[in-house]
Amino acid sequence: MQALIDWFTALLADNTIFNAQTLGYYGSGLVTTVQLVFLSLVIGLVMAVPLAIGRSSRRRWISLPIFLYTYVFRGTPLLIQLYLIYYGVVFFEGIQETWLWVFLEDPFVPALIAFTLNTAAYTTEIFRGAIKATPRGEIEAARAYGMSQRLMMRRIILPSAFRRALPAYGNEVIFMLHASAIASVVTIMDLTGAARFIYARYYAPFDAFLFVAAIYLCVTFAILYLFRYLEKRMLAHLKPVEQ
Amino acid sequence: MNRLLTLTMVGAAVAMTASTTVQARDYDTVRFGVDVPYEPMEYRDADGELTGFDIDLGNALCEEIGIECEWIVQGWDGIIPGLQSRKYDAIMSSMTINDDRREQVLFSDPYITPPSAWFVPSDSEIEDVSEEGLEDFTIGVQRGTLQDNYATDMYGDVADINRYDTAEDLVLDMESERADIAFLDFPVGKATLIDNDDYDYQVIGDMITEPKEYFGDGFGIAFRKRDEALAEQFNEALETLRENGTYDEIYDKYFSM
Amino acid sequence: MAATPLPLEVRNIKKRFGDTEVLKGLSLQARQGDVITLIGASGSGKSTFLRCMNLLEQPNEGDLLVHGEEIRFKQTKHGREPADWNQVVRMRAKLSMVFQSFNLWAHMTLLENVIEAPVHVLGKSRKEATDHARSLLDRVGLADRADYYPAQMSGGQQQRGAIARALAMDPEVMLFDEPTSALDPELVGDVLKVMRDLADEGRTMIVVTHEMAFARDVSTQVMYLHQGVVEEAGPPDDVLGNPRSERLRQFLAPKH
Repeated sequence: MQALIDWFTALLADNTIFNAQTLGYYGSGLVTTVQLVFLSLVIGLVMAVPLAIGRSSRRRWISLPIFLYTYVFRGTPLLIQLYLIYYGVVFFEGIQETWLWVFLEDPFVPALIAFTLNTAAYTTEIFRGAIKATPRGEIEAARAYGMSQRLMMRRIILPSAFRRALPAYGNEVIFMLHASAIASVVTIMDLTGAARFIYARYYAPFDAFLFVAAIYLCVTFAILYLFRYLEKRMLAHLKPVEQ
Repeated sequence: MNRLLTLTMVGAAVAMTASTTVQARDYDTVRFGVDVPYEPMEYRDADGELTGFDIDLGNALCEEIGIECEWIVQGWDGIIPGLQSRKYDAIMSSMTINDDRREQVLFSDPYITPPSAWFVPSDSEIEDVSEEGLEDFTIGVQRGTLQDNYATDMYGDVADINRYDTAEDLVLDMESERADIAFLDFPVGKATLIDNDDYDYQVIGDMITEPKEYFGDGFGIAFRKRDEALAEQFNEALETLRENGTYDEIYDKYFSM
Repeated sequence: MAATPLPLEVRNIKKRFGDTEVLKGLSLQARQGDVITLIGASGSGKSTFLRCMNLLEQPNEGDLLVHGEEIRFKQTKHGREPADWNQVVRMRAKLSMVFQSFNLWAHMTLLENVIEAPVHVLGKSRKEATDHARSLLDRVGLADRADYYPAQMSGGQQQRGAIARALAMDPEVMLFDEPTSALDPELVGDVLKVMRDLADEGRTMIVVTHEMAFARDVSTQVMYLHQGVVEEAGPPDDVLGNPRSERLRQFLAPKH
């Protein structure tokens, strides 16, 4: 065991590119990426449920504004959304003096806002499609058995829709992980930002980016595994019975 | 007949590989990689034309040597790999000569040696550029520059370092108060921040040219390591331009106080 | 003398789809224990008529009374709508429907299907609903399938499960919309047997079906519909044994 540790420390000490300090950058970059992606996904998901219900509403004064929102955020690149929010907030005169500035000064918050709005838009559309695809017969049965619209939504439509949306949402989670790689253009030291920093400093594009790609792969694998488990549990109702 | 054909083809192939393996070939046109904007060294004028000290000096050197010059804009991040992969043949973009870079490229003699300086808004709270003075402030630098390395190593523990893709982005964030202090090549900071009437900045602290491990030996033109003959051509041309006053002319155009 | 209200009564139901009038003034009275069978060719309006009874379709005209309570309507720019949806919800809880395509909720097990409405609409306790559900499933022969999902059961099993679900609401009237039309012939018999048992124990049922044997043996009344009008109505022996109209005779004649 000691020999292994010695070998590892020697490796770190000899290397210019993979030494303790740079691994520290990669590590904190990974933490930042996970924070950014996880938070934006969770908040976006919470936003998307009522938005998707509203989007499916027959009242145009509800569904139309939501459609405009999802159209804008799905119709523009995330990078541009990020730039607009990061640089755009300072166009409000005197914002630096307000209490908001405590949050907006740190690039993490504008990035979080951009990513959240983006994933919420995509997730809303995913859920809306899933809600629409709820079998009409099941909805009729719910009505015929005296369920109110709200009860039907809660007990029948949403559970059915969430299960249907699971594969597509798993994709969305993976997209967000990789989309987050642009965060370093607004100075955030995320995982890709760490790679860019080390590449710029040590002129080692392959080492830095390959290493970071490997980390992204590992994280993606974990996400896939999680969703495979979820699908097994939540889509059990579609499995044929073993004879 | 067949054998003759084969021999001819083999011979042609050998000749072609031979010509490409000879690195020290003669260049009729030299393509320069340059990261824009970085006023006053390289930037675009009001008509969108490339101009600046590096551009003018580079063109003058080519004229002296008797070859054509082409300028290819490339982001600073990838500027050395671009050279290695032959996107261009030389880099003339305010690149400091230092040991790290010497391992990757071949440098000409230094053609200018500007110091670096710290720039702050005129109403800044920052009093000095010691470690205590910059504690908890945000330092802005361009990613991958010597200023990035210097700031990270000297102040990385006490201050936040914001690394920007371009000098423009850095200026934008200085204006929006996301970055409190910028560390730039002095001529660049002067041209972009101080001489510009739209902005209100000043220099704080001394001009910095030490330690050598960061600041190296001034700016040089970077070539691929095997292009020794080409580098020598530029060194000779540089010396000629210094002697015949062309260098001073160009220098005065950009750096007269 | 106060008359006990009829479990279900509809008067003069008219329904238009666009320009086409599908139901031209139909009436029906279901007494306690009645088994009323609606027969007719496709397009005759029998399913639409049935679906008007629990307001899955909105009739343009006509009265609907459930256990003596008249459903109130109001006129809106979209046409006629129930005035009070709470009233509709209450009324629907008393009328259970069994659908042609079963319409079990796919993401729930059979047991969960059966207890869903009693727990969430009627407010029964889970335990009470579950006990009741298990006995109902036992009754329809699906006790061992309680934890299966609908996709894991045959059509006949699903339909029997749907009937258990309908029974769990303890309905006043059960509405059957072509309950065996989507089943393979071998499975039809099991479902009809269950329905027959229900009729024997005195359930009030309104059934839209093509199963003439069922109509003849089990119903108390048969109504023959043609193009939105009741052509003939009466006891099964009369309507089916002695059809008066030529159309009905042709309808009943063996098809080969």
